[in-house]
Amino acid sequence: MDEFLQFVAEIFEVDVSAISPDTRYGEIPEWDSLMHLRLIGEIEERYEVELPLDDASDIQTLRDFYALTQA
Amino acid sequence: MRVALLSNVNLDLVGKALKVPSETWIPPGYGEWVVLTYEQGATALRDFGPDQVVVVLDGTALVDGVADAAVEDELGAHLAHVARLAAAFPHSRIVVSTLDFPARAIRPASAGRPEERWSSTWRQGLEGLAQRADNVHVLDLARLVSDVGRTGFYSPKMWYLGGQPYAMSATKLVAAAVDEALALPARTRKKVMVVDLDNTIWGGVVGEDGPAGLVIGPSGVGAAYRDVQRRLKELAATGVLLAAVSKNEQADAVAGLEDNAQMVLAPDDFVAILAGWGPKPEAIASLGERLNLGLASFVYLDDNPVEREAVRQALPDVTVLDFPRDIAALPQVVADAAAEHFWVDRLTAEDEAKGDQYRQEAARAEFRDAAGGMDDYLRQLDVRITIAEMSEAQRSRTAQLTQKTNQFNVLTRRHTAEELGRLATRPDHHTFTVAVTDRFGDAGQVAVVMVRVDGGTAHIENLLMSCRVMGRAIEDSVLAAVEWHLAEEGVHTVEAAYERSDRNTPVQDLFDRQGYERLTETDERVTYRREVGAPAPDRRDLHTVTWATS
Repeated sequence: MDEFLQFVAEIFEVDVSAISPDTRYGEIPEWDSLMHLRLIGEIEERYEVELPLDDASDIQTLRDFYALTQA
Repeated sequence: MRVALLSNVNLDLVGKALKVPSETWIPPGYGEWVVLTYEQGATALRDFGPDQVVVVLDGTALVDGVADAAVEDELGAHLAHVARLAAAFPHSRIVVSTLDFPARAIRPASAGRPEERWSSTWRQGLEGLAQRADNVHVLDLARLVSDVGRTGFYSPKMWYLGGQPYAMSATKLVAAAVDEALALPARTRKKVMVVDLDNTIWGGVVGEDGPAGLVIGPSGVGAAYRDVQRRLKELAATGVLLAAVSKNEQADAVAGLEDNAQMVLAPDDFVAILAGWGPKPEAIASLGERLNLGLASFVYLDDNPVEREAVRQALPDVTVLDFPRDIAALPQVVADAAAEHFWVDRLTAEDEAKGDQYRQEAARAEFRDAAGGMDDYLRQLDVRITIAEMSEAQRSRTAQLTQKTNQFNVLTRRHTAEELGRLATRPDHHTFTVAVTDRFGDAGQVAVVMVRVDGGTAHIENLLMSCRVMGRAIEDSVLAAVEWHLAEEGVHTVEAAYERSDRNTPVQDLFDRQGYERLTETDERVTYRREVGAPAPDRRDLHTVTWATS
């Protein structure tokens, strides 16, 4: 999880202390709809996973994202 | 560089990934690009003041909901939007994408694939527009898609989630393609393609196998060499000078080209065929002197790794191409070199006549050897100089001169055609174009003088001349004529400067020879002043100058 948060923090361009598994979509200014799209793309590339559309649409928190990378 | 990125889909991620622009503007709300092409809607874009406007369109989204039978009309309407945008922003470079159309509907096989036709309809319309409007340029997105493959390029999920049609990896490729298109105007085009002959543009060794024994023809390995020659001939047709440097007897080298019916290239396609047994770097360096071109404008192709290394070592300015291990890849090596080193947006009349002009230069050199004193020689050349205020039709060539001229260039200020158009609207600014003919032929437009007038003082803000006509005291006649022309407007003092670049030492004392006084002086920059009509003992007056009224 720590490594995942570090990866996300780099994409957000924030310090890792600014986010947690419970950070919600829209909760911090960096995580807007554009960043959401980019996050899906970057995470798919990095973790070599395919996030199905309906799962991706349901993502609320970074923990949800992380769960999808572990599938 | 200020770049506006317009699209009918969500291009925010592409915009974020761009590296070339110093500032990128994307209109709020995607799909809004059409509004910006209308005068009433263009305010925000106008306020941004783009140097370049990039329009990347997605074919599928562009005709979504439009019946098959109406798509061609819809594309025509969108071309009209592009044309209006180009007209509304005449001083911005407008880069517009081609369109890719994956099959968009389930149809019986007998209905065919109208999408492929739409793609070419758009391409033809866009290319036609680019020919009519100087500032419109094509970004070949459809080709990028086909190179990558649609399956990896598009991501339905990204489309449904965020209105962006591309997969994440394709986003980066689109951004790279846009960056490349944006950077093109600043790129300096190389001028000379030097090729080895044996086992480079034909198979075999002409001195041993004889012209008839060379490998070139319609099939097999011969076809690869034939295609190499075709690419080289196409390259020459874009104004690149082709030269051969070969370890052979001169007669054998020429016979190889002449006495085998399968050859695509003929001796006349080359500005020089240098055959001999001396070191190739020396032959290439002497070619540079003969053509009066710097070696940084040379690209070299040779199958022999020892020769390539010798050229690399002795002439580090020359670009040496990697030779493929498999000869099948060689035609593409030439095509890639064309894209990387010889890219040209549009051809000017000068480009098309360039090979001829350099052959004339060779004839002039012979004449010079025969003539007596240099000034006598120059007078006998019957040089006729025509100076004019730059017309709209001359912008493209003028911009090209500012971008390509390195040696005879006192300030090395590069301009695009769009910038020149902007400057032309300023009342205190002159861009003078200089065309030259002599008894051997027409050299076309060869020099540019840009001047800003501030009351009684004129400032030379750019002064450059093609190296093809250097060494004929043409600059003496041009500067004298420009000074007197300005004097008629009330100018009494002309100020100028020389700024050192890597390449412009040939003009480091130009203004000294023209009777200008030095004002300030550092290693990098010397400034000058001259009162119009003051003595200029070293200035020569050898040529006829005419002012053209446009």
